[in-house]
Amino acid sequence: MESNETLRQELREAERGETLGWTGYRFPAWTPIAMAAWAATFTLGLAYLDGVTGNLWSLLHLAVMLGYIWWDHRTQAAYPSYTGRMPREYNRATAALFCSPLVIVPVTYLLGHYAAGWVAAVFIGVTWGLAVFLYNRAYARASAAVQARVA
Amino acid sequence: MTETPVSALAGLDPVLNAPKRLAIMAVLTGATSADFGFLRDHLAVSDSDLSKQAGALEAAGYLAISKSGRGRGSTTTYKATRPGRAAYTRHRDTLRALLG
Repeated sequence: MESNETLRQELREAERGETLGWTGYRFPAWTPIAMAAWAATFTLGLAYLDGVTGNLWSLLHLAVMLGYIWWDHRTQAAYPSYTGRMPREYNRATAALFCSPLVIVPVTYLLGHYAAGWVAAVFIGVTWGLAVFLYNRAYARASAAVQARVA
Repeated sequence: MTETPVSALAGLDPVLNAPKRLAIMAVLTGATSADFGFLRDHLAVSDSDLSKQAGALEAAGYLAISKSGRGRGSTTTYKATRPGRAAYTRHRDTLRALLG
């Protein structure tokens, strides 16, 4: 029968393995710029395009986002499971990213309504790009912390 | 050393008693999918060993294997099935309980 120490080693390896999908993920360096451009051009369409053109513009942006997710899934060697158990080190950064639209979107709407569409587009482009940039940095720091914990 | 009650061992899955299979399922439980090269490099196993262990897990219904492309550019991707995730979680929790 295996000794307790062997079983402990297996358990440690399993716990390390569970984190690999997260720590192995690498954000493409251009994602903050791409996300900023996506959000800004999407908002410009909402502000200045009406009818069929406006709907097509929105659909095009939706297709681009879905295409990006599909491409990212295919090109990453491993993809973290957001429905599985996320290592606790990522909690704060992920919560902050998912909550940031709760502030960014209403302010963008107000700017579009009371200032101008282009002002709203610039605002959302800058803030969303910054949010993604900060998330990518926080994600890298969290990955390093997870690797140190399970080493 | 104290005797382990038989009931405490019931959660251990015979398929996952092999450490390499347990390690493969651990990676696939934390990821939506992982490709062949990623698993091989991170688990430090040979190509043939990974194929063999993954084949055993597929036969048990614990993972799904998909292949895309042909020749040198082809990619083999692994994904844990729902029963596989459940079996892995049960096995790991039993190990934790046994080890206190």
